[in-house]
Amino acid sequence: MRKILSLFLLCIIPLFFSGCWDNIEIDERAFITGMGFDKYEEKEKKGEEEKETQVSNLKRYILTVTYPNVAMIAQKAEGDPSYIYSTVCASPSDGKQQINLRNNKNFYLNHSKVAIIGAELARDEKMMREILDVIQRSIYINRKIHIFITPQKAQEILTMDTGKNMDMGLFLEELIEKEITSPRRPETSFDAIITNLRESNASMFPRIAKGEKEVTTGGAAVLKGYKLVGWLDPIETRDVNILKGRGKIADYTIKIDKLYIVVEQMNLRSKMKAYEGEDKRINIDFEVEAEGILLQHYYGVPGEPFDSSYIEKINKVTEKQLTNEFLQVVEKIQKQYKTDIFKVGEYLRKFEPKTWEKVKNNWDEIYPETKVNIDVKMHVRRVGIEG
Amino acid sequence: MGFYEELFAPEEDKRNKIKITKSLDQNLGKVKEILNNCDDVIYREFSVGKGQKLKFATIYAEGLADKNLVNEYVLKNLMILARMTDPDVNTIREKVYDLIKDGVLSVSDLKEIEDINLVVDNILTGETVLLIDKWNKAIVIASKGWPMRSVSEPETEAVIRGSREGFVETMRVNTSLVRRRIRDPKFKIKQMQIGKRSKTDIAVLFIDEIVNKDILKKVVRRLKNIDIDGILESGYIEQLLEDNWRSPFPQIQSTERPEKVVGALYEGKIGIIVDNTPFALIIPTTFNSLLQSVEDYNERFLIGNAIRILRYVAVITSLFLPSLYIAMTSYHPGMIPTELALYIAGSRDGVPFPSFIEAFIMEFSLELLREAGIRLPGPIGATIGIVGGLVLGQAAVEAGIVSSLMVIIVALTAIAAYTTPSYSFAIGFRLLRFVYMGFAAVLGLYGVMLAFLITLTHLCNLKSFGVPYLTPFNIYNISLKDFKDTLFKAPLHKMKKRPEFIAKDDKDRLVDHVHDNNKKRM
Repeated sequence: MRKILSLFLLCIIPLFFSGCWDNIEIDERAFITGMGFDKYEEKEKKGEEEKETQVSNLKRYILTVTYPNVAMIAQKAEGDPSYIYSTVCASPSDGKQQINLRNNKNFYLNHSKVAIIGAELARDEKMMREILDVIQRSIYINRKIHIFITPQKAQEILTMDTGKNMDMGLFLEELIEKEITSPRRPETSFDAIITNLRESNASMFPRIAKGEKEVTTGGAAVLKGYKLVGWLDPIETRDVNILKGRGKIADYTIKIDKLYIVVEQMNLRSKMKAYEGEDKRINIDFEVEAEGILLQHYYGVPGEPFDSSYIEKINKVTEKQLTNEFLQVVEKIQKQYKTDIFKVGEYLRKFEPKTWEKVKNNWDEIYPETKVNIDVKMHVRRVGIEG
Repeated sequence: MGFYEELFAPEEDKRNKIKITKSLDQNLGKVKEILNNCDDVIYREFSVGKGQKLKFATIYAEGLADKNLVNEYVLKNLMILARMTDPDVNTIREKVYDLIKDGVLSVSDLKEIEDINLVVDNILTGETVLLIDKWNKAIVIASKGWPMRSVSEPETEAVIRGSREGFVETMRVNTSLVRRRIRDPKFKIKQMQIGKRSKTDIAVLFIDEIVNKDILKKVVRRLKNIDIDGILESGYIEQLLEDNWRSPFPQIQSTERPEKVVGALYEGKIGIIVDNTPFALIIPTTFNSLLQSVEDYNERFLIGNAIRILRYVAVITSLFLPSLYIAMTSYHPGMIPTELALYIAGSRDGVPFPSFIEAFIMEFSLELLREAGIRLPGPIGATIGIVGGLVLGQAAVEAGIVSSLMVIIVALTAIAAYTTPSYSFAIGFRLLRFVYMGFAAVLGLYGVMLAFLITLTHLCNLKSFGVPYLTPFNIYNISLKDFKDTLFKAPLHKMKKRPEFIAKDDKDRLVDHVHDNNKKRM
């Protein structure tokens, strides 16, 4: 009898220690793939923000979530590819509570793929920090979630039709994670962005925008200290990526002898160096070395690309054109946005600690005044097939 | 007396001895009295000698004894040949017994006994007993010969490469199948009888110098302790001998393959062959040995290893797959890759049961099919398999009772379970699978791990005749040498020693073997 009792207890005890009574069948969950955060702007504000309690609804955010129609994925049913819920709320968590009142499935964030932040919200440092904290703190949201900032409203992006009968979250995930990546977009993962923000107090968020029919993901939003300060277009973003050594593959349209030719960059080595120059100014050197292919020339001039002096000319022109282009971009970032996207401060801290000691207290003032030298070397190695 | 003689010394016959008297009629009367109402016993009385003065009687059980042998070599010789010789009854009367025994009966195996009880015993084992008037001894003529199945391929343990011979129901044939593979005088076969009424012959097989004597002692002691009325199959012996009857895992391996027994003997293990069953027992048995197949050794190194690893993976799959499916779909969908999670969610859309019930229904119907397939005669059994597997599964998915992925999971589990070479081992795992599924349904992944830990604790605790069941995974002084024949199998020429945990005396299997092309070119 005693034996049976002890065996019984043994079986019962683990049940109490478990706390694992969260059994929800997989088909009863709403697999949130995309989240959108927008700032709620009422036409006339009546001091809503001063309210401290939630007796009546505090209206600050617009939360939009989308989850795919799984029955359609398993080819069991037809219909809309995704379900979208949008609500005005005091916080994302309040939004979740509200959506739970309207949705028949259980809110589930573990498979969330993208989070889109509206530009209005991104310009508000307080709210931006709230959102970043929500994502960072959540045990459900993956740190590899892709973050976007849109000049329009996140809600508009998420409610768009992808045209491929697909959920927007899944569509964007596929778009980003496909093998042929584009350098015209900065790193998208939350982890990388937040690391940049922490290290240099500045970061590039990928930009997403609504076009006529499609969404487009080129370019970047530049953040300084959790606040949106400006935008970079896709080509500028590409140049930043090249200077950072990330954009391995790119193609440049070069004007040479009144002809437009295309040089594709195949291999890239990019190095940044910062040091205190003789005139006590901080110098930033970029050394870019790339290999290229002649991708497009002009039909009917046989022999020319085989001429090594011509190739040398292409190299020279490309180098000059790129140096100018890069200088412009760096200037925009440095002088206009005053953001340390290249992590010069971090570089000084790691490799030139003595210099860093001198400048760290007023780095924000010193940084825009630093001298930038860019040295581009291009080697066109292959010229393709010639007819 | 040597070690083995002492060990196997038969127990004394507790029955009252009934001496054979000099009167044939009296003796016959006693035998008939014991064997009354046994209509299969044949008595044949006849007279021998020129003057027909000597009375003889043969007794044998019809069907057990070889009638031809009795007719041709016993009766014929006694009745015809004995008459041709001219025994002077007066002079050789005292020697007639010797004369008959040594000169007349052209049978190779003769014994003499003095007890009526033994006479009866011998008759019932199929021997023919010759009683002679005015002589107080009986001659037992070895005439066992009953209809038996010929040696054929074992059905439960088929292999691609390996001997096609399997054990049959006759112990003597089985021991000969083993003896043919070990022509070593050190290979011993010790016989005993178990069962108060069935008196089943049991042979204990081992190789002197290799066998672990401690284990042998334990086995014989336990065998001698058995006091049961009848042994119908080696399963009876297995259940009475094993250490832990509550365990789902077999602690004694049973096999139909002589080479498996031989392989075990060479490792220092002990084989037990029981009469009337083609299943021999191997003692001691470890977890590891139940996952070994004869083919692993017959195939070359790489192939053998690949198959061995595959089998381990299959065992893990068959144990965990349904429970992991339940745990992940109902508790932790975050662990499944997104696309798959969405697909599973979609395929489960509209299924009326929680995934545990769904899995249980499918697993249960699979077990039904399996059992039905065994019971039904061959051709119908195959039909049941097709009807059940294909039609039922398809229909269930179309009806929306189960999700299509569940059918795949269950099918995969079933296939994986059938790769285990030992049937009784596989069935243990099959049972555990349901327990795991229950744990997964209640506690998710935590439950699966909990169940696994309980199983592991049990396995660590389990012993087969003093040998830890998980050997060599859980021995104290762990060394790489012990793993030569586990998850991986070392090439044959590297396996120079017998397993340490069994063989104690003669440990060498293989003298340094050098492949020819490795030798220095002369």
